[in-house]
Amino acid sequence: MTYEGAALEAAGLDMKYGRSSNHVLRDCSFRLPTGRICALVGANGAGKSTLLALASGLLRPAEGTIRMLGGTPAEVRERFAYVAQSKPLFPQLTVAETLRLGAELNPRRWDQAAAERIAYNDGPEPGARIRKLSGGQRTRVALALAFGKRAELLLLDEPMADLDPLARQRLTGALMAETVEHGTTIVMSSHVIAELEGACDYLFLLGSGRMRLAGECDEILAAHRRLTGMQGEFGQHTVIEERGAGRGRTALVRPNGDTDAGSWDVEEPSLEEVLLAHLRNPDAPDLRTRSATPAPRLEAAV
Amino acid sequence: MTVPTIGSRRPESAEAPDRSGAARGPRGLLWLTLRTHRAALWCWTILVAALVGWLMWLYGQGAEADRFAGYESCGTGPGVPECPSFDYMGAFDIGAAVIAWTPFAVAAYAGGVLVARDLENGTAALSWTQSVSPARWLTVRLAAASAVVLAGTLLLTTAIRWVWTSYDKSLVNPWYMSDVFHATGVVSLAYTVLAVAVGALAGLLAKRTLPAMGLAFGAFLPVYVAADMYRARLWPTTHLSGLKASQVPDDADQISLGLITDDGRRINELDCFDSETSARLERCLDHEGGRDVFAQIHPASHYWPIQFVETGIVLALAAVVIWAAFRLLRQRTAS
Repeated sequence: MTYEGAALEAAGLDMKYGRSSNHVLRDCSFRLPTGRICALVGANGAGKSTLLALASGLLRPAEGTIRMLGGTPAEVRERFAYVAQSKPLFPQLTVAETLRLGAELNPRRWDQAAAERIAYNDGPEPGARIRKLSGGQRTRVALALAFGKRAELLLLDEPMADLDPLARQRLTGALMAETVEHGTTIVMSSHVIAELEGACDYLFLLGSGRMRLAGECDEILAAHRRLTGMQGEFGQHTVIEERGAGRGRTALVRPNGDTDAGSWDVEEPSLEEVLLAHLRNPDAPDLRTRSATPAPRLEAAV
Repeated sequence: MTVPTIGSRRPESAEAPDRSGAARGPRGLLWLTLRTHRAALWCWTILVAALVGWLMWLYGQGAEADRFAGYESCGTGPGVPECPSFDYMGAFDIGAAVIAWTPFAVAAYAGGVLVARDLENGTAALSWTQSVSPARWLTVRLAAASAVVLAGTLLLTTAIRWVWTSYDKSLVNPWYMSDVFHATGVVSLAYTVLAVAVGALAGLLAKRTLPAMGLAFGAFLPVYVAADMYRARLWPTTHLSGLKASQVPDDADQISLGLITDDGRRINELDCFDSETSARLERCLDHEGGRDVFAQIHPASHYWPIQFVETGIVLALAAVVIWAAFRLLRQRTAS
């Protein structure tokens, strides 16, 4: 397996705010291959925004390294785009001026047409001031800046939060098109799992300061089974969550060996079920697929 | 896989007249900085223009005031002119004070609006995740702000110098008065640069608009107070004795004056000053029991040396503050 082609790679990330002993991130390591649409999920305050800010070089990690597109965030500043959760824009500028901002600050990469497609479709007029826009319209202008930059890696912090269902669907479509046409890697955070399912083929679950689940959605799904049976023992399998179901027991497990050996009903869980089970059970062991494991040299360098 | 499209490109209206390729004038980060501080730019321009206009008007008033320069009094009596209707000295003082204290407004603006507001709103991060490094962001901001306020300050200082030097010195406060000293010389430019620097550091430290304005203002105040306290020590004083000491020039900054007694003590006794001749001074000294009079002063000729020394110190301080600001920015971001 080659370790080239990582869009984002981190080893031993450690981050805390101020003098508090509460680490937002602690020894957090992961890897994201290029060309993926990755959902970054986790409970409120799990450190999703912190992780994205570290990835985009806005914060400096207390410890650990983070590399993207083969360089440090500062080295590849022109090649990634970041949209913060608050969708910061200059309120006194118009939409057209905000897009000009993108052109002026990204002189070597700007794609005006791509930006305009996102900003103006059923959206605000070019002459509208940012301060007059609704939350969803602001979000679209902020996303337009990211698309106009023609970034190789898009880091989007809660991009869907302010969007109506139709706009979400359109954004999802635009993101998928971006990946298909340009091979763009996308990371988007959310705590609403449903809005990411279907759009994403890669998953990071952040909790307790580390990556609890990391890898391809289908591989993570394949690693879990829902077992339902009359007796309360689930054999050699790793139980993530177990509870009563009618007169029997049901459990979400990571199978170790053959699941047909016992007298259980075996079902493939949904991604949402897997995520919720992990969120409810912080002590469940971590799972990181091969492609989500950082290169040894990077981990060794820490 | 079918890829949903996100609609077609809007015709005509989206082709805004200020599309990047066709735009003229400043580009890049400089364009953004000037555009987002357009209101402040206008305010500053109007303030400077109004002050310069007012100083020109004051210059006109000065011509009238100048006619009274030689007189002890005005109003009644033969050969005495009618009193001027206008308090020229008071007006000049107000102008000097406004110019002298302008750097405080500059510091508060630089700290609060130029730096902290951008950090607070997240628009700084917006710039840093375009193709602009935090260091360049701060550089352009400081350079643009400095250039604009320096140009305005240069105009103001030139204008008030013109008024100040045009007429009899007795009409206006002397050079060593704090406001006059600040307003009329090159120190005004140095303090302007320091104000921008202090503002930038305060903005980076406070990270929020209002606290940053307060911090910048508060940090700048001790600099002014200290400068007023120690200004007289920036250049060696001139020591006078005898008749020269007794006739201290009107426009000299008097550090200490007094009488040297027969037993060599220096006392604060001014009875023998303003003696017109050596003989009178001798007689007065005999009468007072003194050996000599002395005067430790800064003559008016020390104006420029002190201006230059103070300018140097203030610029050095500004350099340290700017270095600290960039260091802080580097530590905080992975730039």
